[in-house]
Amino acid sequence: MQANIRHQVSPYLVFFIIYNSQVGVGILSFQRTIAAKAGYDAWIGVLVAGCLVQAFIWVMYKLLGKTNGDIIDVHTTIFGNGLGKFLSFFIMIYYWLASISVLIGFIEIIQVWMFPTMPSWILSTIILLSVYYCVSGGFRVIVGMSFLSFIFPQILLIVLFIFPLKIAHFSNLLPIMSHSFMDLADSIKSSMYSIAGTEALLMYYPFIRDPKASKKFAHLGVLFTTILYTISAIVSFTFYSENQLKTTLWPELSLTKTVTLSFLERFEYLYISMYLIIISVLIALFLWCSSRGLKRIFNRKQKYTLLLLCLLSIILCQFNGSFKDMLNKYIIQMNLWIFYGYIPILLLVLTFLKRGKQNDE
Amino acid sequence: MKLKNGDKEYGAGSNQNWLERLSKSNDFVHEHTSLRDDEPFWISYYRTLVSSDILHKDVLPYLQEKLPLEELKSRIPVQEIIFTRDADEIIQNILNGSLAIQKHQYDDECLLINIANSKFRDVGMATMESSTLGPQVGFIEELDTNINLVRKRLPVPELLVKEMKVGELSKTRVAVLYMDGIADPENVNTVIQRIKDIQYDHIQDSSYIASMIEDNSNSLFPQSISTERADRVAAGLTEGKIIIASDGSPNLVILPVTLMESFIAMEDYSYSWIISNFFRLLRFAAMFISTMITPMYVAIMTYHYELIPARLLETLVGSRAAVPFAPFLEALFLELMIEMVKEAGIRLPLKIGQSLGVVGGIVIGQAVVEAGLTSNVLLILVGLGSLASYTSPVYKFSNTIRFIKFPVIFLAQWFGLLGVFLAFLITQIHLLRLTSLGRPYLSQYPIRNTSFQDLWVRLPFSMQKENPKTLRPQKKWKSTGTGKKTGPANDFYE
Repeated sequence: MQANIRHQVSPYLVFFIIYNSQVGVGILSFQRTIAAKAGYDAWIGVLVAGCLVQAFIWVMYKLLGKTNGDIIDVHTTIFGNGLGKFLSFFIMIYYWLASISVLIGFIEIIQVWMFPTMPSWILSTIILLSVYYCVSGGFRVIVGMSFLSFIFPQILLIVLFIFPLKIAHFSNLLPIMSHSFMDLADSIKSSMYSIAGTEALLMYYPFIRDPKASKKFAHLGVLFTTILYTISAIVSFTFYSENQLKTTLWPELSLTKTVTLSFLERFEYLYISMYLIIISVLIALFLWCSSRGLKRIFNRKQKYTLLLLCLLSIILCQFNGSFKDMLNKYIIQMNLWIFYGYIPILLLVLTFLKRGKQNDE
Repeated sequence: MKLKNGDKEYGAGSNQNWLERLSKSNDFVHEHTSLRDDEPFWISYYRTLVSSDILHKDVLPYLQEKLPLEELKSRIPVQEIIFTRDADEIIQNILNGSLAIQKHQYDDECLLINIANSKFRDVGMATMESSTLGPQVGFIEELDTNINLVRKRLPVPELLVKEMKVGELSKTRVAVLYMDGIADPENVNTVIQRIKDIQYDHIQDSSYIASMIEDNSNSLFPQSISTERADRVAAGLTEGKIIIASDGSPNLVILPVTLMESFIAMEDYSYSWIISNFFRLLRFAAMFISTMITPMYVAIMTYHYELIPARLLETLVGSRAAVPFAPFLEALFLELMIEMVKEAGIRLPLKIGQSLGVVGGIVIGQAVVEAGLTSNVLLILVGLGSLASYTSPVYKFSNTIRFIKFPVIFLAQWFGLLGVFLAFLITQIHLLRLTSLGRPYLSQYPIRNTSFQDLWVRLPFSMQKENPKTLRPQKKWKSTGTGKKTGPANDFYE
């Protein structure tokens, strides 16, 4: 089911959507988690994870191209209406939980770095209000925001990498491949979560004008983020010692301390505030996916599903600490099993199903 | 026009009583033309609307003889003469300055001669949008003169004018101008339909119409440009824009527009393209300075003074040492004061306004600092911000910039830098949602290659080849030449 042409976006914009959906709070802290076992070799894990995501993109385009709709259409073609919608429901829940995990992660950063006494519900409310405003403008507005959030704040993200390079120890990275394969596999697994997010394509595919042409932009987007993550990992590894890295919660935020200008110190205040834009757009994209899916599953207006999701998110954001760790753990599991186990199987099933139908004819 | 219950339609009347209805007013004249009572003409007109000069020189001499009305029509040397029986038409024309001639007092037949006396100022300099280079002429309050100014710049039959009457009481003549074959017909139809749908009893200015027909009336951002410059209107027409002009208004409305067009001055085209690009980007940066600088000050001085290096912080805190207020109150106080000075400067007569600017700006500003109510640094920032808000060549837009910093100051007080960026985020979302006649208002997205020819930057004329695509013009090319110049090349290229 293709969306109305008035609501569709040009193929090249997929680059920005992919980029935006992959870069979230993960990039601020993933250097620590990937280096937990693999040490300074962990950047190889990021590259491998990037390749896996590329393969995943290919799988998604194959799968969605067959039905020319979103994941709900795929499910209903294979499993029929009832079971198909039931299975899609889980994916919508995943989108929603992913958006909450981003929101909670960002609120934690604000509370640790900027406003220690500000209650979570105020922060989640102001962010979700702007998210609601963004989502209610339709998909084009979300894409426009991801485009702008690429242009304005991300330029600084790249500038940030230049400052620590002055005192970098590139010898940290040597010798390459000094860790076992299992350690590397662990770093792949941890970086998979940081660069997750491309799965939103399963919902917005029908909103791309000429999806075939958009494929190369999707791959380019993943390539760009993989390189960004790899550079970010390498910059952190050359900057921190291994023990320091293990105890630094947000290595990338701590990197900002190297930025000193004649009129500016403590660059991280600006940096975190600017992150608000990136985070809001990311949450908007995921909540859009989730609320649109629920709208199609339950035949309700998107206004109501979105409102419900926002309210539930605000409530869930009140739980801090252990809830956040638990949520993250489940989301990592869900992400791996759903998108790297279930979706490829779905592609195989659909391929055989179609082939079977052709043979019957 | 649909009428509600109990309302009567203004201006319309039946055949019998138009004379009776008009006679109620004291400036209405209804009289004989000749002294002989046997065969007089009856003339009726509003004394205040007609030119007595034309009446006495060109019309009355012909009314001395006994002639049928048709004969009179060909004799009287006035251009606009109508012969009619329709009471509505008679009333309308008399109200627009016509003279009605009847054979007998209660005849239906009537000759209407337009001898309206229009008093308008002469065409003069554009005062609100003045420029140092380029054409100086500005529109005036008369529709026909304004259209004349535009037509002189575009003498092609493709320039079409669609006229209609809007307003139950004011019956304002509103004209929609567009280039046939360039402007998107869908846009033209939308504009005409929306103007026809207007149900408001009086239209005093074209801005009334602009705000009635724009897509989102609740937005702070003007989705059309009001201009008094004929060159701006003509340039817009050639790109496929639509112009709305209304009688009695010296401003013409251009639409659809994008945000970036509010930073384009017509003077840009008079300079070298490099210099004009510098000015264009300067204006764009000035918008950010104007809206962000005071909120940034509030946010940083309230929450994040660590952001400022120690030596600079000394200056900042030092100037604030004697101030007893929180940065928020201090900033709000000063901003409101500056806005008051500006507002008073606009309302006051020109000569007093100038001296008030000096009094308000220098004397009060200095006194406030000396009294220890605000800091020196803030005074500089606020002054800079209010200066920057006037760099936009579109007056309506600079008012938007003036206003928008107040909510941002509040957000900065509540959430610090986060609040400033929250305001940025919400503004961006709002701008993305905005449309002008259904076309995207924010010009950054989606990217069009034409935006780099003459919107964000202005390339040399030889490289501005296409009309802006966002307007969906029917004529694609602006220039078809190669841009090569004939003339002597230097020895290097021989």
